[in-house]
Amino acid sequence: MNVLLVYPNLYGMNMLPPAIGILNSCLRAAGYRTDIFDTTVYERWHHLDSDKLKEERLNARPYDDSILREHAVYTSPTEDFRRKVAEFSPDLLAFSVTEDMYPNALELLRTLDPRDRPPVVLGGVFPTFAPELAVRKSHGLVDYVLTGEGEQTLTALCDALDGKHGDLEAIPGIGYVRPDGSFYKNPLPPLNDPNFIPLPDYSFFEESRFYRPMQGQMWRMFPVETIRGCPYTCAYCNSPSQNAIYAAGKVRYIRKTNVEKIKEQLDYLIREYQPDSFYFWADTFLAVSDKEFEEFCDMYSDYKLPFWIQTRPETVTRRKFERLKEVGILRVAFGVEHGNPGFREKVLMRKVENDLIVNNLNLLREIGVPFSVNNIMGFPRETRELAFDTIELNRRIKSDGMNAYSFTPFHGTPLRTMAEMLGYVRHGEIARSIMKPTMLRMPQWSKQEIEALRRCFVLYVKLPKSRWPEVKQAEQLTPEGDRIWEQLREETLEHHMQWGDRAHEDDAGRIDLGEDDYGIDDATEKTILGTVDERLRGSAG
Amino acid sequence: MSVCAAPPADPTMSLETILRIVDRASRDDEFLDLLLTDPTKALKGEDLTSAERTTLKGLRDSPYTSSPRGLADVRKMVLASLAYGGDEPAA
Repeated sequence: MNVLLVYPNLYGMNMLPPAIGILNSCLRAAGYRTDIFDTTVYERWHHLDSDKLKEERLNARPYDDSILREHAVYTSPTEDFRRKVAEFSPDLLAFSVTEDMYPNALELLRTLDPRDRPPVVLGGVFPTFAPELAVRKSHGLVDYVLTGEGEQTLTALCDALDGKHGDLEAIPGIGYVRPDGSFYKNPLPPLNDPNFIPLPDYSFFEESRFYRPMQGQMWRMFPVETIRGCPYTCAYCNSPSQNAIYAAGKVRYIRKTNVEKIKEQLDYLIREYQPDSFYFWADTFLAVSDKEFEEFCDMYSDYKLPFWIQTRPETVTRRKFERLKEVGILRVAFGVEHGNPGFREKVLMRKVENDLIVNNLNLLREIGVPFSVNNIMGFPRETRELAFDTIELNRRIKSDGMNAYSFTPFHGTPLRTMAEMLGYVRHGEIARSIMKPTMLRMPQWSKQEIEALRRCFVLYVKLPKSRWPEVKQAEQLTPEGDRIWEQLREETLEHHMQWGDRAHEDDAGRIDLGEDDYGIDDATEKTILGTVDERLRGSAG
Repeated sequence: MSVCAAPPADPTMSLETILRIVDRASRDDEFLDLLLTDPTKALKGEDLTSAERTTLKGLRDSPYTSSPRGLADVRKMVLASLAYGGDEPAA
């Protein structure tokens, strides 16, 4: 039996997906022949290059993407998909999708002749949280969904379709439309122990997929899973739902990979793929005990390859980051998301003080570990005024990279339900990429205004407040606004962005941001603003 | 700020009505069960618009709002958000 794994990803979303590698290993171990169709390399599909867009908006350091472009594909992904299906003759098309990839999956499937189309199964986060929607909205293109973790169930589905053993109805987590039109769905499969899952097989991916930009250069970076799940309950994330689903069965969703298994993965990846860096795959890398942390560092001191992590500001301690620096940390990404503590606590379900965020993150600057800060704009009920609290908070943080994604109401998140209750999004509407403009229809803050502020986010954070009137002009989504934005962008890039880097072996990225302008008192600022206003009035006249 | 002061973006929806039913579901296990298994029956007798009915029926699609605690949390989030302005339409 042939299984074609399909990853209908957007160009520029460069991180290699461990789930596909693990599923590939599971299927091959069970004797199935596999191949991949991965759309990440199709540069012109939907004209969205996530990493390049980040560079353009100063969210990331400019980088040379010639390795990626060398391997980019300019043909039609739908035509190539049809050709791939004809050549490989799959007996099952297995898609792994997040919600923003779902429309891409349907676009690919529409190109196939329904009479020749093999069975189609959809797995991943989106079908897990909206299984019936994922099947019904496909209008017959999707036959099955597999909810929850697929390591056991995808193989079980193949076995059932292959007539080996088992029947479809008995497969945990499966969902499909019955002949009478009703939707059938089994409870989720049991959780897998990450210490006993197969090592990922990435051998069928294009060579260029092993590279991703970071800190202005390309890295041959491979993911290593250390934690599944997250103990926190942020309302914009699906973790509260994951935890709620399994808590009902008195099971903890969050699971950690032990240090022996992490070491096994590292040795395997080094042997098979020669990485020059790793990404430790965990929502909150430091959601571990002190003992687990020390075990990891002791183990990793034998490798010391640069690595990237994500964690929460609350988990930062000087001791931990000095230790991580010793063992080769390259960079950290922190989710801050919003700058108003009350809004963050009451609406986003995330309780932490701004001072703690600032103090902990700026500690990294002292230690010399580069980091970036992720933010979100356009939350339900958010206003422009509230968004400026996020800008103000980011001005206090000495990061060397910052993003402002648009809030995206993914199914399974508490904020999705809230957005539906408020009438900002319709039930059943499919969420799109966080890089695209918001899809919420809010009376108090329009899509255009949110998008305008998003593109000027870094300018507001990095430029002196005396320049804010110019930045306000750059918010205009007009040719004149574009021109001003481009000028300010160039100026900011040249004079105000100070990137941490690892130019010297003994310095893992000391950041020198130089003097800042935060000491300007109100009177001085008023004078400066007045001068700017006059100048602007003069130029307008 | 009252719930009425913050109408949803969809003029056919009443936030007050939705939150009233969500509140009942978060406190009344029997009503919640019915809302999750047979929402049409659960909402029978309620004077709801089509959009309100669709939104309330949709609660069962989310694992989070299929529990009393999750429902109560979302209701609290909506109410808390009303304190943050955002009632004036964008110019």
